[in-house]
Amino acid sequence: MQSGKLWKEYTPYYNDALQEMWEFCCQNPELYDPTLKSVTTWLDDYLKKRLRNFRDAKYRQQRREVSAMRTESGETTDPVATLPAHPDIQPVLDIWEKTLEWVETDPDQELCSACFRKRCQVNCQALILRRFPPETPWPAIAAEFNLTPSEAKDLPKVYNRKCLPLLRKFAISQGYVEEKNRLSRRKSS
Amino acid sequence: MIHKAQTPQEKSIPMPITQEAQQIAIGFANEQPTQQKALQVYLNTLAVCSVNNYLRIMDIPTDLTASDSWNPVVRLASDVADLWVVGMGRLECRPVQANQTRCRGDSNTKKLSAVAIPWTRSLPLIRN
Repeated sequence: MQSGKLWKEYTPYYNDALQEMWEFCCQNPELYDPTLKSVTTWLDDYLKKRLRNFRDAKYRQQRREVSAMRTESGETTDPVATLPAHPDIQPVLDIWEKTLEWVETDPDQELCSACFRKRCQVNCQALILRRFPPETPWPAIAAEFNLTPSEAKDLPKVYNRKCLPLLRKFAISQGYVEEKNRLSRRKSS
Repeated sequence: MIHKAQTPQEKSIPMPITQEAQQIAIGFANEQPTQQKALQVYLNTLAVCSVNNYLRIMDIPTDLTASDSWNPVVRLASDVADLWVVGMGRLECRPVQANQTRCRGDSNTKKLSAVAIPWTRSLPLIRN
């Protein structure tokens, strides 16, 4: 790629095609026959094939899309405008609002009982609220709670060890992510 | 925590930023309540996706959905840029400005290793 010898074109999907070409060619080197073509030509051929697929998919998508139509009386009607609003945006806003509400109310007292050492006021609820955007820097949090230098150093570690598991658990309980067993994980994408 | 980037730019591997990665990064950034957090999440996600794409080329199995960077709740409450490498552990993927030699990093969790990803806004490629 750095040599600049590969086929180049300025399409939005070029990098996606390039990625697929590298994945395929690096995982199937036995398909290359040096008696037929140079490595660059072999890579280029596959890259062009992937680009063609992306181009065809784009055209198919465009043909499926409904465009605005002009009626006999000259008015323009857009069939898309008559469809109900897409609900996808709401779950995105919900995640922030629901998480904030859960941390603020702490219904199971799980967050406020997870304390930093023996300092009960420095608990996961207090820490998560301060680490939510706009993120309060760790030294400012340490200063607010009058932590000693060694306590201040430990604070981010304790946050990761105690608070992140509670956040992960909440995400699973809300169905934002699936619970997984890391030992049996396989390549997903 | 600040770490010194170990790899000079000229020795890094250029990786294309795919449309797919950009769409994911924009989607995650749009979930954030502030612009600053949205930029942090956008760059972290591009870094994670680029390292993931490189590992895919190398046929090294990863699991994005097992990474904290893919968890919308953890993303809100922490500056996460990790990638779960199957059977190995958590790989830290941190974006770094092209003209900088240091990047942010989280030294507080047990990790496999860390990758610094220099980027520039104008370049269609990032390097890892």
